Amino acid sequence: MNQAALLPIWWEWTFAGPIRENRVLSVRPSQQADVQDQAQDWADVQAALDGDQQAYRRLVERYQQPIAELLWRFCRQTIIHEELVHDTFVEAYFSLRTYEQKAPLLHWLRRIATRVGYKYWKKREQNRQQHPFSIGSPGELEQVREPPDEAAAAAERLAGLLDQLAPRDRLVLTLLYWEGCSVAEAAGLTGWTEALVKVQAHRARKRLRKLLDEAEQ
Amino acid sequence: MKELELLESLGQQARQERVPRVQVALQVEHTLAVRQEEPQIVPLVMASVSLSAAAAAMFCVVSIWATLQSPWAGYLQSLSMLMH
Repeated sequence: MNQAALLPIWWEWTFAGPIRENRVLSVRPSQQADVQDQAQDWADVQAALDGDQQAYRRLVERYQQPIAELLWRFCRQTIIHEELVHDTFVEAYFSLRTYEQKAPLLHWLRRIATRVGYKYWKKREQNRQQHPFSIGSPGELEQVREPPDEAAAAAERLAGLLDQLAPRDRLVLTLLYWEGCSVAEAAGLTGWTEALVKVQAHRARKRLRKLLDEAEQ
Repeated sequence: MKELELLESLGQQARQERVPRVQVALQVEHTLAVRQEEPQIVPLVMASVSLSAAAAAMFCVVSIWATLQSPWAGYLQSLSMLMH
């Protein structure tokens, strides 16, 4: 792919995402917080900004599990997974002033978590390129662990499959097929346009098909 | 479209997986406390840069003033007139 073709993608990820940061997204029924919760969140955000540590602690305790569920798609090693959740809330604290209550707090946190997870994949990809023969990379360790039940086995298999793709491809397929997001939700989480999500998903599926064909031969 | 079917079926099953419970509130609190105690590098750098710029400007002004006040001032003036 030439540089001219890469430019819009780079623009999307670097600048257009943060610009669209506060747009309103459609709410999934399972994540729909009621008005009272949102009011409580907003009160805690304001208190945290005024230096009330207990208020931020309440927010972390309220949302650590939904964020952990999303980040489990990004890393299946418990120690690193916990670190990613931790990093998400630390990053969120320092960006708290940018939260404008246009969308529920959980949506805003999920966007930050997606960014944290994607950064982790990119860093891991760089490490893999620099040390291709290192023993015990997270990807390898993920596949060694014994799956306890059917759902976990499917998750292990899916993670192993997606792990062979580049972070960008993995991100879009993880959000659409594992997290079960719609195109609009995936666009909201990544900061890409819906058209870009569709194009990226198409390309990622094509690359996955190629990998599956190669594995069959 | 085998990859699509595979993604959809695995994704659907994988969504049923139980995710380990996490407790990060204490760690987050600790990290935030440590980060807030650290000296803020950016304001320090900004302050030192502006102080340096102010000192350099002051030095230039004083040098020009000193040159104009020195016995060499007349010599410099006639030299510049000669050059024109």
